[in-house]
Amino acid sequence: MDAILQIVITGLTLGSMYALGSVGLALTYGTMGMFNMAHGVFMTIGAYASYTAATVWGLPLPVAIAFGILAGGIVGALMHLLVVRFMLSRDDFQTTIMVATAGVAILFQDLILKQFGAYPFKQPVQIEGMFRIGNTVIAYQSIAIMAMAAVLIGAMAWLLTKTRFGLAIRATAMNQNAAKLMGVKTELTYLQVILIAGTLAAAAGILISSLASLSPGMGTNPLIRAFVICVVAGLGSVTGAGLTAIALGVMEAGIGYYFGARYGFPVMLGLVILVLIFRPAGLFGKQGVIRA
Amino acid sequence: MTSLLSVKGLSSGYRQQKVLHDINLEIAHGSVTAIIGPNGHGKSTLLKTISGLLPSWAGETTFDGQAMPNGAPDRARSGLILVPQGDQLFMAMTVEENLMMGAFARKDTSAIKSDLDEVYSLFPRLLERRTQRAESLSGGERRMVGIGRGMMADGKLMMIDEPSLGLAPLIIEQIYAALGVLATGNCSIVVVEENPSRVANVASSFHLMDGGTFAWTGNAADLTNSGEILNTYLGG
Repeated sequence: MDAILQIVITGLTLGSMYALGSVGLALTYGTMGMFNMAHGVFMTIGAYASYTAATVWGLPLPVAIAFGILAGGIVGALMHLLVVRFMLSRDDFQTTIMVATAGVAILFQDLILKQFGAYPFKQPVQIEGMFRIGNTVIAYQSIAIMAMAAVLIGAMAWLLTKTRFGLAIRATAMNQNAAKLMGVKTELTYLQVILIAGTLAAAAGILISSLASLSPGMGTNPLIRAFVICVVAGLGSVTGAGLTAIALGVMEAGIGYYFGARYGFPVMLGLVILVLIFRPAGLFGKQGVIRA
Repeated sequence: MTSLLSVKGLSSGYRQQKVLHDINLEIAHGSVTAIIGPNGHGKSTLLKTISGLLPSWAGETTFDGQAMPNGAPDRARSGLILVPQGDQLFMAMTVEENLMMGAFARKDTSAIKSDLDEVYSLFPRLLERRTQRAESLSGGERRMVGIGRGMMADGKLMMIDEPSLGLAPLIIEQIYAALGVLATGNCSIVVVEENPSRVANVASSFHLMDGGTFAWTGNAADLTNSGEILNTYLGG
């Protein structure tokens, strides 16, 4: 019983970080058909930005977190304005944008490497201490991670479903040309989507680095995980990505406990293969029906 | 009197392929214009170019006395509405959400409500289906949503691309009955159809498109007198 509770707590902590990391990726793919290879580096940037704010500039913790999140959004917006915007109308956008964003990712990763060096840092943005429920140990950090993920994802869900702004995003995702004909300024919508994705990714990066450490390549693994989650959920399904992330987090925690942590990721990859064989459109995805 | 829409020397196409050659078109206020002609000769391309979905390569377009803004969103906001071919609905939204998307750029809440009632009275079928998702509708119902969504924009000019495409004859009659009602309103209408017989009773001015240019232009009386020309192009 204690073991199960521990697994659930660990799993939910992992899952909420994964969810934060993958909903942005799902949103950009769903809205503009863009698989953003720089999504992982947004995480790295968020983590390093809040590290810099807290350690180098000595700013208080909440400010450092806010600064890190903001940095992710700004870098996302810049990438849109300087790169993505010019590629949108290309016929082979889906392919070329992967190469272009991978280039952006390499550029930023190397800039970080040059500025901070390859030595892994400890993320100062974290809460010490823990409490017990029965024999189960729960770190305050876990609670903070879950709370932050819930608040940010909740805010995004509210934006998407309850506001005019979200309506524009959903309409663009469903049918870009029709949205334009309704007067939706889709170019602006794309900028906003990348900004939101960058923000969420940066938040995920801060949380991930608080459990592991900071390194220039820290975004690579979470990016692959986020990709796996999006494929299992069905590419472009935002709600699906969130739910799948939580489920895979709990699964990974369970496998880590019973078989060893090194099996978690391979099992996840195996799962993708199974999903792709039996449900190619993903668990929450719809088989595309093409009608004239 | 100045025209609502005035197109001069318009050319456009896809990638390197030029499709429209030097098109001139005048649409009067409150008129119904039909663009007819065989498939694959640029009728839809013309509407896409005027609506801003496709960039124009050359030519001048003025709308309601002003130079037309660039890009489809701004043109839609200025009152130039395209009801595209194949409906292009928001499939995961309900009928009513689709209709309300038509009014996306509008702020006049009470007028939007009365326009919605107008759409429902023109297409009572949509009122029955208002909470259903667009993807669950039949072809005819989708067409109704497409036209209704165009009405919701309260535009000055509504361009409708092949309203009869892919529908059963009985449904086509219903759609055209609705267009007849629309034609009595303030909004000018451009209808694209392959065959002139559908639009002969609705429209007052006709353009026959062939090979990316207007091969023939005339009014309703000319149309009845020019049977031979039309037969040549459309195969009777």
